[in-house]
Amino acid sequence: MLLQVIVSGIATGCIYSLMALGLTLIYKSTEHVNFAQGEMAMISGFLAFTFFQFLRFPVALSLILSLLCSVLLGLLMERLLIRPAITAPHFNIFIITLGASIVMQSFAGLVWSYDQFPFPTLFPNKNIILGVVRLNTVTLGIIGTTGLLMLTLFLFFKYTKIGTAMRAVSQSQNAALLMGINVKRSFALTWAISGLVSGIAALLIAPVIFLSTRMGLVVINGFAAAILGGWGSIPGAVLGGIALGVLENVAPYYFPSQIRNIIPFAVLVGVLVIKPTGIIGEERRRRV
Amino acid sequence: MLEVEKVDTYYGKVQALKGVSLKVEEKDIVTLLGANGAGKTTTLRTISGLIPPAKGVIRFLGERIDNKSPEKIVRRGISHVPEGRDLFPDLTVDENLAMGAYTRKNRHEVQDSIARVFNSFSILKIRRKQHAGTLSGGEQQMLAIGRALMSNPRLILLDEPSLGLAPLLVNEIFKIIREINQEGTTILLVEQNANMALQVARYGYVLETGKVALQDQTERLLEDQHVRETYLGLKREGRKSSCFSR
Amino acid sequence: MVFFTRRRIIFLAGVGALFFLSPLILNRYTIFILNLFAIYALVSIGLNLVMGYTGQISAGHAGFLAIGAYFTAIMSTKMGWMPPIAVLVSAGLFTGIIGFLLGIPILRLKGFYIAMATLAFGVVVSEIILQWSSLTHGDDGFRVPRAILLGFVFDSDKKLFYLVQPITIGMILMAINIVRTRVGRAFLAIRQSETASQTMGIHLAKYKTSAFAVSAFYTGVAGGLFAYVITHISPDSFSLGVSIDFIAMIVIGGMGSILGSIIGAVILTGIQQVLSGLPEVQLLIFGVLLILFMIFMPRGISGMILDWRGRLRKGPLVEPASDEDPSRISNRRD
Repeated sequence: MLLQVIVSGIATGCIYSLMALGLTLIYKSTEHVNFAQGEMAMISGFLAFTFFQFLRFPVALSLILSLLCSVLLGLLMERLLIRPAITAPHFNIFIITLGASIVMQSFAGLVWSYDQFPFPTLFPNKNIILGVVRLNTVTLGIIGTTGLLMLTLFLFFKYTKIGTAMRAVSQSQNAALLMGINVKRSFALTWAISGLVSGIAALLIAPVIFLSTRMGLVVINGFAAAILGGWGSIPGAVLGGIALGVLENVAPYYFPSQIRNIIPFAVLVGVLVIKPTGIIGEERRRRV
Repeated sequence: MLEVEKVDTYYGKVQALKGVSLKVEEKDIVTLLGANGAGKTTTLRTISGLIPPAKGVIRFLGERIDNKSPEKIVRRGISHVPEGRDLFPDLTVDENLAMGAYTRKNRHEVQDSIARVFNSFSILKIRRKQHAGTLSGGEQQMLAIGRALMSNPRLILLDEPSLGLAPLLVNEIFKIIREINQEGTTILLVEQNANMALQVARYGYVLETGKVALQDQTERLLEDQHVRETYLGLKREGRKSSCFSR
Repeated sequence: MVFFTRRRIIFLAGVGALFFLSPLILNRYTIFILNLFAIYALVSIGLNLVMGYTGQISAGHAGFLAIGAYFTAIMSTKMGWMPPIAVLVSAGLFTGIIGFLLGIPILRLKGFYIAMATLAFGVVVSEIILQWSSLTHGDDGFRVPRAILLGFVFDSDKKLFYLVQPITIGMILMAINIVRTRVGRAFLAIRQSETASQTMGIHLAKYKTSAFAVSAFYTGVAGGLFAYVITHISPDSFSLGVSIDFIAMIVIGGMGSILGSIIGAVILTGIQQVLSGLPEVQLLIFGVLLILFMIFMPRGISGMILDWRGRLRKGPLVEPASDEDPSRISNRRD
């Protein structure tokens, strides 16, 4: 029984990891905090839904289109909102993303209303029995897709020239410039990837929690996850996400069920008070 | 090859360079001396495009580069080894070198360059899979220079290569600088260690509070009274004022 | 700068008289709005003290508003004999102490972490109010008893005007005073550069926590007034969205400026009331304004006014710190 809860906790945790990953990617390379990460996911989800439900596109096409849109959304945000303010202090950018999240949320509310919509699952809903545990294919699908995505990103960043260049930019913008790397394009690409990650997260979670314009609040879980794992660290984002997901699913077993809502905040407060640098610890100093 | 004409550069409201002019001939080693805060690093950063000059013109191989971004300037053939090395600490030695060759397309030639760097700096070959942040000071300096060489530059801007290095290593580095120059690369060297710099360079500029105070061939600068007292720590009559020459 | 010249005093006296006589001729709704302006101006000033002056981001100020409101509501119910001023002052002090206590752990955090911590604070307060229904009536909301002073019941917006406005004006003057003294200048210095402030002998911890305390005090009093004016409070009125609205107020009005706080409060409350039937459109406009102002006018409207007047800037509102590297791509404007 407990094992099952933990597994579904891992699945929820995967979503948080994706959110945290999107946030961390942007933070690592640009030192900006994107409060609108959740809303980006939400909008991607609604676009997919629109393609599929209202425009009657085939499922595969809807998915691909919506992911393309999430990439575009990332690029647009970077170009329209971040670049004009690029010389401003990080505080300003944070507030801009705050504004962006409000705009996206209300825009979505106006266009699609504040109702909840059932979202078709990507994976056939079956149950597999492995010994004493009953696993659901949707849960496995979420974990599997997340794992695959992480692996792809890992390979991309480690072994491609562009990926390595992006890592270089996040370690030293100046040195990257001196290598001939177009740092601005690197930023745009980071936002694009971040958008893609959010889009995938949306497609994975919408079937489970229903599509709604308040979905964007999952970014707070993302923040809690990233801070728990160690803000600024990519493995930390993944770890923190899984840990948070498991915590959220296991806690209602031992405490009153309302505690579920407050866990991300309790975690936030707890980490910030006890060890602000999170599990993985201090982010590395940048200069050599 | 490189002409800097009457350049003014500001950090916010503070003027760091006031009408700085200098020339670097092809295949030469020119050094830029001066105390801390004199503007040496700022000069290099202005040349490589990290900071746009407020006034003045910079020409490289006949074309203006003062209005270009660093990415474009690198592609023209200028490589800048920044003060403090500025390596990518979490990238391996290999990856740092690969980034140095970012602007080059031909993979075979890039491999050749890497091989040549390892030839000159054999210690780096042993450490090629290590993260740059874990290397010692001397190894980092070698990697920084090696990385700059990877773009096949015509001109290298070297900022304080001896900073923080033990004297033996400093000699080593300067030997390498001479070799690089002999193989055909022009060098503009910024140094606080005026002694070593004046020995390896042919021509020198002395910056004081953002202006060029003195410029001459290095043999003559070594004889100059002001230079000797201020930058070489030598009192009149050639007696050293301290055991260490700056 | 002699602010109070003879002409000015007469002018202000005239304006003051008009202002205080206005409820006799204005309709109920307008008076209600004026009361709201005042309340949000206090919140705005409070938030500005912590964000605009000492540079600590607070994404949870609705929490302080809630504490002040519920404290007032509960006090008035349980101890109805207390005069409203006493209730409000104790609400303010109670909230202020909580603010001070919150400010202590926050001392160890920087920038973005402070935003997250305060955000968590705001939500936790909201959740506690929701769950502790025996005290707060939770989701149903709390009916706030009318304020009574020596038998005089403040049971209409017109009467509340004479409770809300004098208190607000008094607190605004107090704030102007604080800001003009070395305390205020210390706050501003901290926002510009904490390191530099320390070298000038400014005791960071003392000032940063006091900023939180004073800020919470103001917001707490505002919360109490809010409770009296709205008469029926529920956790919904104190959500994260509300905290973000407050941030929008000071960004648009101008951070680091009392005048800016007031302007921001008036503008946003105005928009809110004009579009009261369309909450999504309200939110959309707030968001767009927030973005536009942050990109093009980070110093807000008061900053714009100061620019026009060509005076010395009241405070370094959003300049990059002096030790940032100008050659970094994010510091260049190509």
